Amino acid sequence: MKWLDWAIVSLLLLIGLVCLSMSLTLTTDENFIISLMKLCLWVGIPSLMIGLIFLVFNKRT
Amino acid sequence: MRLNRVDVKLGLTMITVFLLVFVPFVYVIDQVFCNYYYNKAKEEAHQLTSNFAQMITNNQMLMSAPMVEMAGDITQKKLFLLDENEEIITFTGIEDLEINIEEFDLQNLFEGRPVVFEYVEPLTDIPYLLYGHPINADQFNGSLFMLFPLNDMYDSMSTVRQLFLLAGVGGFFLALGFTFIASRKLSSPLLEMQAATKKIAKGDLNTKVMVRSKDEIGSLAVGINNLTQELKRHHDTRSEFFASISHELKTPVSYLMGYSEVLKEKLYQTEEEKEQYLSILEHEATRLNYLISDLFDLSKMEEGKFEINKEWIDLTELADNLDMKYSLKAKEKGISFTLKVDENLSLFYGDGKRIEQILTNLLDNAIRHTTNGQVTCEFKQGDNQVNIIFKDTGTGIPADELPFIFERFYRVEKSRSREFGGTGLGLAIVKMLVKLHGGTIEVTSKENEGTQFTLSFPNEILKKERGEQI
Repeated sequence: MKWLDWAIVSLLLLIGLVCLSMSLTLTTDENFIISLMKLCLWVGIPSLMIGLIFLVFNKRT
Repeated sequence: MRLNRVDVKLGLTMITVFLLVFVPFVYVIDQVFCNYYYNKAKEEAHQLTSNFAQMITNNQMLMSAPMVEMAGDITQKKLFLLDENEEIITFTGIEDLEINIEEFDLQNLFEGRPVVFEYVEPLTDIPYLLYGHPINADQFNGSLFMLFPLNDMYDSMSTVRQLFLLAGVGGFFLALGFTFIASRKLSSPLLEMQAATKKIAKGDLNTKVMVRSKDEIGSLAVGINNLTQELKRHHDTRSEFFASISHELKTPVSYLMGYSEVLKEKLYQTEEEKEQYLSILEHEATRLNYLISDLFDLSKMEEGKFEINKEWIDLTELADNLDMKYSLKAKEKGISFTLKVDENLSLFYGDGKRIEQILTNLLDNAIRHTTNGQVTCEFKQGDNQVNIIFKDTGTGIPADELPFIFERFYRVEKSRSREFGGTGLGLAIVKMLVKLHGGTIEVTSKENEGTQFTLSFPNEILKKERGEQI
């Protein structure tokens, strides 16, 4: 993937995370940055796990 | 941006699947959420209204007016009391409300069951939950109605819906981002292969595709690489073949041109010399004829258009003919020729003319390359096959040249090839004909000791006896 593709992906993920963070912030008393960090963990950790599983699966096959 | 691309199609498919699941899911969550709060409001209305209705029943309606006012003060809700004729007998808080009770179906009330309606006040547009409970359920004596405003509940539901929508949009963008990555990663090997095949089509046969996985896409990449190698080999072989043909044809043609000019210009001294030149012309013309005929046969065999007419033939008879012909040839050269045939040699299913061609080609070669010693030919009957073995004590073939002797125009000892004669296609034709008969040919040789060719054909008689297809 080229740098432009990565830029588009980053932008889409950022928009998604910001929308989710705003929704979370408006319903709870939490700060926007803290909500954003929490969401990054909720997205990042499963992505990392799936990535690891994918790598292990690839190596085995 | 071109939409007719694999990664775009893949991405759109993934997003469509996501939306097909996500949209109904969001709808259900919304309905569950709204209905939960509405049902809670209804339950609260039921509890409150039934409690006060019970109190009024217990007090036998005597103190109903102050009762209603007190209930209104405590609950801060609007309420009114109806008699058994549906007339409002007392009320609180509804002075500024326009309610036409006749609009509502009160049948359940008369039968002793509570009723619930939604009512929107026309002047203020405030929505209310209108809950009615009968007083004295055994005998209908009237009913108590309470109004519960729903505007606050609807406002908070609207806010939550908006936040859900925002979260949904966020989720959609996240899905879009991950879909983009997945579709690009999945389609990149295919795009790489597409670029490679384009290069191969333009003639760059050194192009290679990277094999990154062991799945179907990896197999496709391996297949493309093998195909390219085959194409390259075919291309190189073709170039080599044309170069060889051109060379092989030029040689006799140049002899024909040269000697015919000599004869035309009468550049000979004696009649004997003239006869000699004419012989050479005849010999070269014949050689050219054989060469063209062999080339034609070989090309038809390689294209699969060469027909062989199989029938049951007696190899013993064929062997006898060969014995007669080659015993004489061998004697003329001062070498011995031995032919052995197994007593129990079965009938052979093949094209008699072509089998004879195979055997004469090999025997011609054997005798040609043997100056002293012997040439033997043996027909052996095996369990599942018929073997024909040719042995000579000739010059032999060097080990490094052995793998190439069945190639077209390949000659061992190229410097003496014209002396030995032949077209250089004999063994190539022999191999093709053996293959067309379902057989195999093997060769072993040692320089200055001799060469052995072994032909093996499947035993068709056995197949016939077993009822198998021949």
